[in-house]
Amino acid sequence: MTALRLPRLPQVGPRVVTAAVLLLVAALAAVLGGLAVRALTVPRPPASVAALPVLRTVAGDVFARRQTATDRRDAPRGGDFVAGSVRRLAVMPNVPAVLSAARNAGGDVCLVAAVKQGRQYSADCVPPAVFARRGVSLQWSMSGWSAGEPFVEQGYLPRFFTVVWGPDGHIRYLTHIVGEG
Amino acid sequence: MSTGAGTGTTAGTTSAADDARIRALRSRVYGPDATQVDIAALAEALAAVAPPSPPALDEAVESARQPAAAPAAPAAPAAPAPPQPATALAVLRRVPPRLVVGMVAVAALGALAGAGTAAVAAGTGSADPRAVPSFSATIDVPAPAGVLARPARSGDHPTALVGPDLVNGSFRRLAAYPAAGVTLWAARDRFGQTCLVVADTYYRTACADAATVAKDGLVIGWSGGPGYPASTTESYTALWRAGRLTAGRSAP
Repeated sequence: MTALRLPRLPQVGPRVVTAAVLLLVAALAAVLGGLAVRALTVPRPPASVAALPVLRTVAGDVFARRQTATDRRDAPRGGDFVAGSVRRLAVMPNVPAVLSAARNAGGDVCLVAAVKQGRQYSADCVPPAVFARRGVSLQWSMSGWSAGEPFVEQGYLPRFFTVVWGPDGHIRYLTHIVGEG
Repeated sequence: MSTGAGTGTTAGTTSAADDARIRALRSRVYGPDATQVDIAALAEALAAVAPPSPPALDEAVESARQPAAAPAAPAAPAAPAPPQPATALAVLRRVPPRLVVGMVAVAALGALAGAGTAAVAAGTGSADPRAVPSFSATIDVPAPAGVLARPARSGDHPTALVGPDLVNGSFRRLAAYPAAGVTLWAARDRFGQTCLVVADTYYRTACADAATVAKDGLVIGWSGGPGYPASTTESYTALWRAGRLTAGRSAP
C-alpha cells in the first residue's frame, strides 16, 4: 500500500515573514492614522453658526437625487442657474420663502431663497470646494404678510433672515423681526 | 507505543537514528490510532534533538511532557489547547528587540503617511480658477480687498434697515447700480465674514471668510426685490473678486 504524499510547500524564509509582518503593521498604522486625521479635519461650522437652530438636515449629495415637480415649482426664474439642477431644500418658517439648492452655469453651488414662485430670489453661489469645506450662507431682508403672525400689521414688519447650509448638511437659520426681541 | 526518551542523543545534534525514530513517531502521531502517549513521545524526541533553548522554551517542553506521565489517554486525537498567557508572553519575549524597534518605527512611519495622505486629501480643493458667472457687466469698479479696513465716510450708511447679523458700522459703499435700483456694499457679519451686500429698501447678502473671498471672491444673484411688479423683474449678478466689483443683468 503506497502512502499518500502531499506536495511540499516551498519554505518561506524568516526574512520574508518579517518583511510581511512589518508591511502589515505599516498598513494598519497608515489606515489608523488616516482615520484619525479624517476625524479631526471633518468640516464643521464655527461655533456661532452651530448654535443656530436647525431647519433641516440634507443627507448626502442633494444633486444626486432626481428632480421632482416640487423642486421646479419655486425654482428661480432668470439668472444663470442650470434648470435641471434646482432642488428644494426647505421652506422658511412663517414666511413663504422657499430655499433651494442649484448649480449655476459656472459650476458653483448656490443657495437660493425665492418667493412668488421663483420670480424674486436671492442667491449666494460658491465653488464646490468651498461648499464642501465651509458650506454656503445667505442673508436677506424682506417684508410681506405672514400666515404665522396673529395680526396683519405684524406680518408686514421687515424681517431679517440668515440661512447657513453647512458642510455637515444642516441648514441652520435665524429670523429677526423688527421691533421684536 | 512510545519507547520513551531518546538515548544516546546529545541535545542540539541529530543523528540518522534520531531522524528515523522521529519519523516513526510522527507517522504514529499522525496516524489514525494516535494516543496522548505518542504525542508526548514525539515532543520528547524533538526536544532531545532541539538546540539549547532559553528557560521559557524549556517550560513549554516540560508542559508538553506532562501528559506522558499520565495513564493512557482515550484514543481520540488531542485537540489543540488554547495558548496560555504565560506561553504567549514567553513567545513575545523571544521576539528580537531589533524586530520590536523595527515594528514601532514602521508603525510610526505608516501612521504619518496615512495621516499626511488624509490631510492632503482633506485640504485639496479645486485648483482651477473659478468660472466667471454669465452676465454682461454694466458696473465695473475697483473694490480693493482692504476696503473694510478704511475709515468710514459720510456715504457709508445704507438706507436699508440692517439686520442683527450684519455689523451696521462696517458698511463701505462700493458702487451704485441705478439701473437695478440698488447700491452695492462691502460689510462684515457677526460671524466675522466678509460680505457683499446688494441693498435697496431691503437687502440680500453673500458672505464668506476672508481667505475664501481672497481666493474665490463673492458672487450674489438676485431679481427684483419685494414690492417690484413681477412683470418688471430682472435677474442680476454681482461679482467681487481680485480687487474689482462687476455687476450686470444675468444671461438668460
